[in-house]
Amino acid sequence: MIQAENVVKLFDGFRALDGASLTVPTGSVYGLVGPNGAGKSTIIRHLTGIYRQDSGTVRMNGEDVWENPALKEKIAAIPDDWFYFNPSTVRDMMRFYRGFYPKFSLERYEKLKEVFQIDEKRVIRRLSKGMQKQVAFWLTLCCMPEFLILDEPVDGLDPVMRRQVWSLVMGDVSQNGTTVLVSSHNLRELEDVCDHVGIMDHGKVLLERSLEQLQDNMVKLQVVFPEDVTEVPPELPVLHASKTGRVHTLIMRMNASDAEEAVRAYRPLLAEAVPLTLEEIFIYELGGVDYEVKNILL
Amino acid sequence: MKSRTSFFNPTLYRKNLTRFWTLWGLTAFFGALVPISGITMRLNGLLDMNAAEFALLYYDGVCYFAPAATLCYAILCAQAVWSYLYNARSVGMMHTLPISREGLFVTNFLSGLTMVAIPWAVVGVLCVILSLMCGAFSWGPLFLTVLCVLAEGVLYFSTATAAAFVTGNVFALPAFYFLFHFLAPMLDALITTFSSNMIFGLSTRVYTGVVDWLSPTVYIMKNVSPNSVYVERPIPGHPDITESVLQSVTLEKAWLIGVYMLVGLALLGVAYALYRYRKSECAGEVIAMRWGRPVFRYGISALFALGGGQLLYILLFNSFDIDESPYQVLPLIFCMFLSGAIGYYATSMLLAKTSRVFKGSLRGLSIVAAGCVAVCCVVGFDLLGVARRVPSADSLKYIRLYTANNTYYLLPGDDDAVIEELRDVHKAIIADRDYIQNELKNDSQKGEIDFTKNAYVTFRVCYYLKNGLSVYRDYFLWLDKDRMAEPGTYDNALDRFINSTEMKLRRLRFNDPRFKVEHGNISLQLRDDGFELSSRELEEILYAISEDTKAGAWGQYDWFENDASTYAVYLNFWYGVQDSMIPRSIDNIAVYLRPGMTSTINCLKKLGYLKDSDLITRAEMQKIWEERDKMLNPSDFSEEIDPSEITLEDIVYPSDEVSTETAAVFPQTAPVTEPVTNPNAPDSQDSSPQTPAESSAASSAN
Repeated sequence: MIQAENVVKLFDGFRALDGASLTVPTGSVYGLVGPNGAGKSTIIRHLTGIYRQDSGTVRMNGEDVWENPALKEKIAAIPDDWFYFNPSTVRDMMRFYRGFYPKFSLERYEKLKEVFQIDEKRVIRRLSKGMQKQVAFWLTLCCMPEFLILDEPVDGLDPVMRRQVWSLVMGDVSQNGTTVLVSSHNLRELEDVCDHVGIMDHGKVLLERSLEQLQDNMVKLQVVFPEDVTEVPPELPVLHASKTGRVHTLIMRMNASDAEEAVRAYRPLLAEAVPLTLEEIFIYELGGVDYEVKNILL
Repeated sequence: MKSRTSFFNPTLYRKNLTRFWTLWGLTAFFGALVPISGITMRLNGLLDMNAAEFALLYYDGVCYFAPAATLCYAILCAQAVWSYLYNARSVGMMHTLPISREGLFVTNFLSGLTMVAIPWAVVGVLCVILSLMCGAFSWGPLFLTVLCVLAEGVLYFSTATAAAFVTGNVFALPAFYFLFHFLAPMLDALITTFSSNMIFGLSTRVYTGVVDWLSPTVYIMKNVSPNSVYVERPIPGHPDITESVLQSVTLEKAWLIGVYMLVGLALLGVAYALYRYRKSECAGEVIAMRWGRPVFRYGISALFALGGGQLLYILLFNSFDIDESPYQVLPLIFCMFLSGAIGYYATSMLLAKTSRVFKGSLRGLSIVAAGCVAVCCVVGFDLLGVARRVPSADSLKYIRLYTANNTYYLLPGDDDAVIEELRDVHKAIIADRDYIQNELKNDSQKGEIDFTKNAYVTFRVCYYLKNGLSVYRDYFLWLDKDRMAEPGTYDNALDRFINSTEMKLRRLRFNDPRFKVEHGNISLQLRDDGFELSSRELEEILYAISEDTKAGAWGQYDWFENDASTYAVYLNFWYGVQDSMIPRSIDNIAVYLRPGMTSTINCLKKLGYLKDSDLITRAEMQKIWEERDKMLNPSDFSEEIDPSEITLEDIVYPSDEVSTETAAVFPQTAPVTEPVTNPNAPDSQDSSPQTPAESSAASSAN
């Protein structure tokens, strides 16, 4: 389990993290979302032991991350701007990683060579940005981490390679129980892979839920009322309503069956629950707590 | 639970060496060129060195070349191995790796040190090969050299490492490193120049050297030196001709390098502590520690104010006339503030990484202005009484006085009366401060100076106090013959003091138990020849001079004397100080032969050193030289020179305490030779070593 509690980090007086807390259950894929400058990369740098928090705790499996090489052997990370030595080849960097990570798997390295199809003797600097990202995944996954921390991991990858990479990560999660924390400013990107989601802004984790919780707690209902009901009855607990022709789309904070039960009293011609996107869930969740959602979800 | 802390990672060590192989490889290549050329010369039969010559070569390298070379090379190695600290991406990657900061520190330090050592190892191995080829291999000097070079490597790389953790910017690193190594001498020069132009009595000082020990490079180069012993040997096949052969070499004060290495290791500890608390996010910052930023900002502002302020003052107000005119307080405040403000904003821009630093800078600028005003006022108006200070007689351990081309030591007890007179002279000089400064300031407007009525004189006094401190004052005085007759003027007080019976006797140090003449020589300038004098000869000559002194032919110091009337013959005597109160020192006096010194002339003739043909005045000698030059180069000699304008300085190197110091260090560095004695002298058994300091002998005309 990854656990950060009340983490505060100041940069020259600016509170980059302002009591951020998050919990990533073991074996889960946690999506950390937020706009630029929300503090996602900052908290990730705490989780990987780069930064030391001014206050609060950052732990994995109950151990402090800071200056804990034994724990860090289990952590692998891909930052948004992955660093490699100049002018190293893929193979050079592989040797370097192998010297630090005791579980580094050469066997996997050879297998992934087929997946990424990058000449390991090529100088990394001469590869395209997307290919460099692939090298980062290649080497990081060979470290066989228990904790995989990814900061904007698929930026620069083409759609096919994105799917490939996620497939590899999901494979690790299912086979090895790897705990994954992935940050993004794009909810749509995470929708298919995450089972937990946290949202950050202004140095705080505003909200974190499992996907199941989110979907149970909110519903999007498409309703066609009889002709005498032209507006949504005010008695209904609607977070948001819109109308296209005679079809009303209602967002309600309750599960699907309760929502259908609630509108039944108005003899609807049609009442059908449709799946909410993650983006919609967060818009309405945060809108409900008086938050300027449009600033978070781009 | 934390576990498995490793202090060394071989992968990182190898990576550093392979990443930066071009750095150490090229350095080793260029370093190797010297011994390789030696090997080539040896193979061609052009080089033959003995073991002592190899030792001298090694030690010269340790003392002079290695400090300078390692100073420059170590910073490049530090920039290489610590480069990851200065980039957010690289510092992120390195600190994500499963290795503690201790591990990173130790591994990177060792790899950097290896990079420093590799070129030296290559050069060392090649030197050993060369020495084996010459049949001159010797373990001792090699072992000491290896130790010293390693110690210097540790010293310089440790200081570079310490500098690396102060900053977060790879370009600031060498600046801090060199600042660390040379800040003390630089401040010494700046403060000394400042005070010498502001404080009356420190007028001729440029650099004191009292803080040289804070600059390892300067201190090692000045204090660690090879001591070579030479012997005179006949050249094979030419029994009458001898050559100097290096017999043995020792490395003096090599322990200093060890001490500095320990200092380097202490700084390494500081660097490690800084790393422990260093924040990764400071990558890119000029100063890594938050608390260091005001120190940097105001420290650099102060340096700018002190250095740039003086430069600006000289440019704008002084017309480069720094030796003659003391700084004026108000213009200096303006210049210092202007320079300090430039330094303040420059550092603010570096720290903020933007040029928009003017808003809200009033407080900082006020501090800079207040500092400039405070320093200039305190020093310029002598608020601390430094310029007026004359130490009380009861606080003195001893006094060293240099004036009238002579050095005098005065001890409380024996010399109480003389000390009191000296203090009175000093007080008279201080009282006439404005007059002295005005005379020197208006020097350029005086037109042609009549040196039969006026003279420039140095009055340099150092009071060594019982508390271990010393008060040093150095005045450049303008003497006027008319004022000299007026009681109450410093001119009068100085003349009465120097030409008092007591001081005349002291000038020769004859029968003074505190001083023993240790060696001396005679210089015959017309012949361009000179001879060392034996101790018996010295005694005889000194006795003869004392007879002339009693007869009034020598001893009276004439401030306005025309040097051209003295003979082109002078004697130099070096005295050892016997008194336990005064530190071991060798002082010298030069006696110029003049008409009327019959006892001395007869004595020298009797000893076989002097012929009648040597007894020509300097003016006559100058005429002879001119005639010779006219004959040799008639086209180059178009202007007549008035012999009356000839001064001693035109002919010989001027006397100063420098020559005394040269003589003082000579016994440690001079080759031990067979004595060079006067072949005509009847008894030249006892002799002293011939010294290279002869050429810089003093020129006091008495």
